[in-house]
Amino acid sequence: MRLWFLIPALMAAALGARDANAQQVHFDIDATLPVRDTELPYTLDLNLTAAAPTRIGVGALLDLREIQKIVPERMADNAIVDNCGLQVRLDDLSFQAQDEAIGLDGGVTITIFECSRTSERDFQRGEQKRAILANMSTQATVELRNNCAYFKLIDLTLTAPEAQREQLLEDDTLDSVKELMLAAVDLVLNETPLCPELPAELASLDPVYENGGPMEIGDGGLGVFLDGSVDVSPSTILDILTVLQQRKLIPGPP
Amino acid sequence: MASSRTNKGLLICVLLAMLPGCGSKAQDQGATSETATQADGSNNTASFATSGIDPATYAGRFQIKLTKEVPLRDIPVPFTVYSGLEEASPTRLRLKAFMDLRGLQEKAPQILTGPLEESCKRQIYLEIRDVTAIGETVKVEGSARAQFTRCKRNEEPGFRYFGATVDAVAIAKAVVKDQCLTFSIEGVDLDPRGFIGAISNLFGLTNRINEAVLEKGGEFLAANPVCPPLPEEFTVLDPIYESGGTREIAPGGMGAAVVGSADVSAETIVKVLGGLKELGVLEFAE
Repeated sequence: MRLWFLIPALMAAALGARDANAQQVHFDIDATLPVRDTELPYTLDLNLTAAAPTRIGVGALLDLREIQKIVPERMADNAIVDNCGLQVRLDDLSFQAQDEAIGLDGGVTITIFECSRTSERDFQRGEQKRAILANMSTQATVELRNNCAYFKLIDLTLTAPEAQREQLLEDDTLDSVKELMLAAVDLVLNETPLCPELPAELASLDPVYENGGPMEIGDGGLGVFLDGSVDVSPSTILDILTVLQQRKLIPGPP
Repeated sequence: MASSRTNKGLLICVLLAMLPGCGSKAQDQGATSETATQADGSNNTASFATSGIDPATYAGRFQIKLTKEVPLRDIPVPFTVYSGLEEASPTRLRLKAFMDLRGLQEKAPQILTGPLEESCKRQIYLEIRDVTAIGETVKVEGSARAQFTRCKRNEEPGFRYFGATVDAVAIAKAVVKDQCLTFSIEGVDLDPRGFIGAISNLFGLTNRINEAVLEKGGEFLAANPVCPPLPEEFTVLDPIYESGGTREIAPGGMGAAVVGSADVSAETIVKVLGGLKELGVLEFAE
């Protein structure tokens, strides 16, 4: 007769599960950002809140702290600008989220070469004319376009050490480097939008984001938030259950 | 004396009251060939033919079949539940479920045979032979052996002044009350055996056995409603069961059908997601 005691226990268990979080639910999702021929890992913190009777508010926080660590390492030996007469390498780069902006600091080696034209279209890099070490500092922000977050550099400041100033002024080297860097970086950033994709189970909750920007996680940690919402109906539940069934996470149909 | 109380339950009573939380696990009963993967009910007629269960009783855009085996009094009992969900309006889901109780029906005689009452003034033992579904009722056939005794001072049964064995047929029915099926006894028919039987009738003892069965059984049933063993995934929807009861799976097989609905708002969906997460089926990070 112990069996009878099982019934209330089971019901209580069901009720317990139900109470979990009446108004909102949170998911941690492993995600990746495709960049050129590689993928960078990040975490998507998804917060769903009942916003209106048929609308769920979606708050997505992209935790990019892992990328923040990886990117400077990968950039170390890559030239951002590399043409016939000019090469710009990032020596050390660090970025920090500061409240609602992202600050980037680093050292840049600018190398200037002789460059001669060999034909209508071809140029030949000649001897190295000089190399300058400059400090770079810039700020980035996040723009929301097509439901994706894009990083965008606001401005770029290059400062060369005192001793090399005069030399630089002569040919406006820093200004042209700056323009080239901005163009090169913008190109890369435009190719790597952050479009958080929800797992198949939650695909029917695909939100429209209305707002987005950088967000500091902890101390200087890089994050991007996206706020939006999704209209829901009873079939949203059926969609979710159907996916769970297809993935054999819950028992199948008759 | 716990064991002498009503727990042994009445005929059906126990039987039916056992289904509930059971949540059950099982293999499919009978010669059911599984028409495994079909969510939209296009093969419905085929599965009807093999399982004897009308797919209309669990129709829905989303369908799920659960088979669970639950030990009742150390006897493994297979349960199969078919459920369907569909959108009934922009803010409501309709839920239908059909429970195949033929496994329980088969094991019922084993499970239920035993004492119904063991007080000092009377002891009633049940022996269940057969459980049959007839339309929307359940017929339980067996016999009741009754002894009437005088109570001793220590409330132990004393001098036995009468004993009789009667054949018993009880009819039970289920109604939907709150969110559960509540069973009640429609009637008990006792058929006293032989000469002693005739005497017991004469002394009105048959009636007393009858009353004892009705009273103890009724108490038991009222206290043990059957809350449908639906998928855990559904419980988070907090459905309201509006109608249902036992149904015959022709011929004579016992089943139960339930129809309900659930209000669905953004809040419900968030709750459901929370519930599914608790159940561990929504995990996206290592």
